Amino acid sequence: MKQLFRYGILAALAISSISCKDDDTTAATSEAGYKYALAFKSSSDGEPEFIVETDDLMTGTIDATNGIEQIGWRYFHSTGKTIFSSGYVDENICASYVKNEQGELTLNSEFVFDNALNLFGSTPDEDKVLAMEILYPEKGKNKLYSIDATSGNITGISYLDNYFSTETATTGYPTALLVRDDKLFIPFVKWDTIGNFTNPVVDTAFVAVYSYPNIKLEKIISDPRTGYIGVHGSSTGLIQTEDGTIYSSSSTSTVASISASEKPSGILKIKAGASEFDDNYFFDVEAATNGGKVFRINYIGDGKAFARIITSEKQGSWGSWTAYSRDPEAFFQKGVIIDFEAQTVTDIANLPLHASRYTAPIYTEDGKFYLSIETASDAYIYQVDIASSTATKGAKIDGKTVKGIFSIQ
Amino acid sequence: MRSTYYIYLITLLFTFPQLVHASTVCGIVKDANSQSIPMALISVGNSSQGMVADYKGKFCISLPAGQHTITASMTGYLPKTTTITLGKDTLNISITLEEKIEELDEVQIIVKSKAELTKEKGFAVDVIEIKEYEQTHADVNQVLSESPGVVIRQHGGLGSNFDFSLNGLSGKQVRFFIDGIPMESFGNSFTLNNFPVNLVKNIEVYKGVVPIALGADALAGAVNIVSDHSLKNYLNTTYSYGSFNTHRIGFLAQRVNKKNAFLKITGFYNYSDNDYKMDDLRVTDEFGNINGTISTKRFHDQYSSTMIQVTGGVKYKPWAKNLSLGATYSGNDNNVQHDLSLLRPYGKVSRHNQLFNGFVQFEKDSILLPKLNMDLYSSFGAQETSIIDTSSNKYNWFGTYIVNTENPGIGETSSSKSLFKFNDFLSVNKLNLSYKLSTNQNLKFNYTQNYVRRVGEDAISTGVVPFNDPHSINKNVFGLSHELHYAKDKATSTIFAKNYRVNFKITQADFEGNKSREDSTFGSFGYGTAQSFEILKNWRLNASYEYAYRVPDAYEMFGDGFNIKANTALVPETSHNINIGILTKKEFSKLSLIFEENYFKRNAKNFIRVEAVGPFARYNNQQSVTVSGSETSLKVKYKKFLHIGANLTYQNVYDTDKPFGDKPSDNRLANIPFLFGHTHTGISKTGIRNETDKLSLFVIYNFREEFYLISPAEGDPKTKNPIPRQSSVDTSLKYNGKDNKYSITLSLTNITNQKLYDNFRIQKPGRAFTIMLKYFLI
Repeated sequence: MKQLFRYGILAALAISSISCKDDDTTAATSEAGYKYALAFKSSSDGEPEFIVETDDLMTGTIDATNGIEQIGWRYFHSTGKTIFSSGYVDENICASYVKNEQGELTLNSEFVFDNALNLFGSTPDEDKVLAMEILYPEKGKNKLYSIDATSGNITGISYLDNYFSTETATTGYPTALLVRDDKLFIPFVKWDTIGNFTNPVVDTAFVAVYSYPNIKLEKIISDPRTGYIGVHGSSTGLIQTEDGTIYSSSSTSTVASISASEKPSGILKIKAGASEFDDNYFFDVEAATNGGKVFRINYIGDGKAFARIITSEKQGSWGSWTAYSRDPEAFFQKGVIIDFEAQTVTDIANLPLHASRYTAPIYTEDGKFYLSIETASDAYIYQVDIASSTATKGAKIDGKTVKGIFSIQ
Repeated sequence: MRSTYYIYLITLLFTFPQLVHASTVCGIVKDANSQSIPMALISVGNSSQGMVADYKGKFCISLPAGQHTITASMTGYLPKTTTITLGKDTLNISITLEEKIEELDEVQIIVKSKAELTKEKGFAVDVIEIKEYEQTHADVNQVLSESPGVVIRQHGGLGSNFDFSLNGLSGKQVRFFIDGIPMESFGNSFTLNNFPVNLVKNIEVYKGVVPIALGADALAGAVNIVSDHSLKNYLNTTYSYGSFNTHRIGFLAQRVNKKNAFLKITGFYNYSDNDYKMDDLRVTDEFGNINGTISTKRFHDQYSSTMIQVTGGVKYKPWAKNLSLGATYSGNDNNVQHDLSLLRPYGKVSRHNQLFNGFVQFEKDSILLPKLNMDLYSSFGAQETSIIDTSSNKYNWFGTYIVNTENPGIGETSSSKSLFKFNDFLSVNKLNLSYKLSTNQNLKFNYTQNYVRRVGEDAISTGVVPFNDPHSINKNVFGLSHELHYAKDKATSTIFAKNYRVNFKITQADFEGNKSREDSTFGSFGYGTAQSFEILKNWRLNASYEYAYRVPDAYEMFGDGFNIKANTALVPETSHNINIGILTKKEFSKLSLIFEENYFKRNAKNFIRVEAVGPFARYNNQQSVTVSGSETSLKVKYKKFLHIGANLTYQNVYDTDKPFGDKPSDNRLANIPFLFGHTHTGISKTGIRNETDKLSLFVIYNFREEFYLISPAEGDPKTKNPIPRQSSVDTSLKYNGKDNKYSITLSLTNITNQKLYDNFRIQKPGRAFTIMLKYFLI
């Protein structure tokens, strides 16, 4: 009995000693082991989360039996082959996972933050991860962590000043972090100064432009053609294409947090090398055929993005946050492919209407992308062929949903 | 004399059918020194007729004319039977009982204790007589933690938070009482883990099925701490000192005059540094990267609590069985050491609480109607609770800190600096009525009102201040029960019904200062039964059932107006609770055995849980749970030399939610222990230095099987987070002085210095010693 107990402690020590290794750990992009890692949300009590590895996204059932246990609600983000899992309420720790030499996904690093990391972004060459802890500006400054993508350790912390304070008793709440060359773009929404997600300025898109890597505010750009950029809980409101063009998306829906606006849901452009909105470009997604109000958006390559479009503005019991819930009114999101330059919206055939409670990184490979679809009665992985805009139902998720699909091979 | 007259009247009315031919016998019960013996049991022949003599040993009983045998019995005395011949006139007799000195312990086995009598009502109740435990434990929690079906999970040392669970259900689902009064009315400083055992006579743990006299929405059951109400002079003081600079003082004093007026003062003071060593604490570099673990002492966990209660009044008067007035002060100061993840050690955060309350109690037998007894209690209190977090220091486990200059508005807990304070006005009003329908039938009624009004304030916070506008909650519970004794008193049947009516009055302001007022009332109806049969001699079968409720509290229903949203569609948590138990007693000349086996089942619905959406949350009815399990306990006593108590509980707590329509998730609920047990062994030897002293050695073994923090059926075992198996031994040595006037106890807990965890990662104290001195002045 005593021995068993001691083994338990030894095991705990072993885990913590792995976590103590820092710079000498190499992110072994091993061919061994599984191909994919899924941020898996179980349907057990409290909806616990696991990182589940698999080779097959298209057949059978995926469950958490062999998952890596996570504590509490997590944000997931990946850069290269490193997966970051960041606690929200239950644990103020961000952990990183990489494959070891045997090809097993293992704990690589852990760091502690003060509140919660609300935003993530990666540098284009995937050597750094940026994460931001948003504090309400009345209390102080937002904290920007610079994290080495390989070691998973914090290498620097910047405090971003009260840069969004304005004359209107509103403060800025960042919604994305995007690095392009020597600039860091941070779109934000202006709202109340306490952090109650109220009184937003919804009729203008704002982006703060910083120098990078020496983070200094250069300017704030704005555009009145659409509402604020991004939606709460997703860090993908700004998208950078292969040639360095940046596209933004604004929701303006009455059920996607507090973005409701008279302005159309739309996409703005910042040309490669430029740091101003392109006056000659505006894609009114609502006016387009198959269009509507954009909720979450993910880049799938070649100037195209997968977007979830809200097809009903009816509010459920969660009011303006309905799209984040499992209210019956929340299962009205459709999947589309947006072509930024052609300014087209194409419905994805065979993809059911669904809810998307969480930011859900999707995985793109060989002209196809994979995502999880949570309906009122079940959850499945779907594969979408980009060229034909057609979905194929894949593996069943024996849980509530998958919050992200990552490649680890 | 008048009290005798009253008893005479009551007796007369009890025996109404025979009144026509009846005469009366009056008597007094005395000991060998002609001192009256109060409260002796008087029984007549083989009939069920009988009564308890009054405080002065007097009794009157109405009987048909003729020959009768009258037996007087009292714990500690040999029962005595007298044969009388009753004519037309009242007969006066005197019964002298002989003390049963040598076999005192054995008498206690034969005579039914309060515990046994309570059990014979059929409720699944564990009655812990403190006498058995006073040797080793300091506070009520320690005693309760050895009770079958109970799990107490401490978050630290003395005064720390704890979770109490009963048959797998926990939190607000279990309600606590002191002498039938909801414990919360005595303030937050009054908790099970600082309440000294020497103020307690016994503790009743009702599992799943709760008698109406404890009026509350106790979904999982209730714990009632019963104090000593005997009308005696006493002064009982305790002082203990132990590891981690822990001091505890307790005193209990009562003075009674010849006219039955009494003044009682009880109180305690506890202090501890709680600076025990913790292992495997994760530490970080200047950025926050975790780069190792250390072992260190807790440095900011000092705790003190004080309570003083004064009660005065009169008892056993013709116009009142008890009329008393009292007042309580309680307070505590608690430094907070860390957050739940242990990653944020605090150096300045503290919590404080103070309460003043006044109460009045009036008990009278034969009020309005001859067979109607009444117990009325009313209390009013004011409580202030504060949480202080004003430091910009960011501490680490090395005990040093850096000053957070970038965000000066942020406190140690990483939210806005705070001097949060809330003031409660508390009131409990309780009425118990009992009506004797016949010699074997009782009708009981209970009404309990529990009212709380809370207002919060914060002088420095820039954020949201909870309860900034007053919240009030008014809970009213009505209960009615019928109790029947039948089959020559071998069986008892109780049926009961409860009605809950709850009213919330909440004013909430939104971010723009717009106030909205919620005033809502709802009611629920619960019911249950308890049955007890003596199926064979010394074999008793108990079965009980209750459809029980827990109504949402104001916070759950209305949130905080900000991050926690209101959900007025919340319904009460409900549960079908079933207990079936068998109890047997075997007595040999020197050996006695008591064996008890209980099966329990809970089928609970609509658990109130937090549901988070975006940055917000609200409470929701979202979980169904079934619990099934069994408790086994065995008590062995050999002469006065050896006693052994052992119990084992096994429980399956399953999540029966159907997240996707049809398929229940077949999974044990996470973070709930499922197998645990205790043994308690004592060896005593009397006559060490004189005839009445005693030396005892006690060994307690505690066991709890490993369980998982998160979904037991899922996750790679290598990555799962266990709360490891607990297996620890406590021991103590006690010397009771001559005539039990004083005692000295030396205790050593966790003697093998195991790393013990009740909660994930939060280590409990290692090996610790305590020396306790008790002195009984009167």
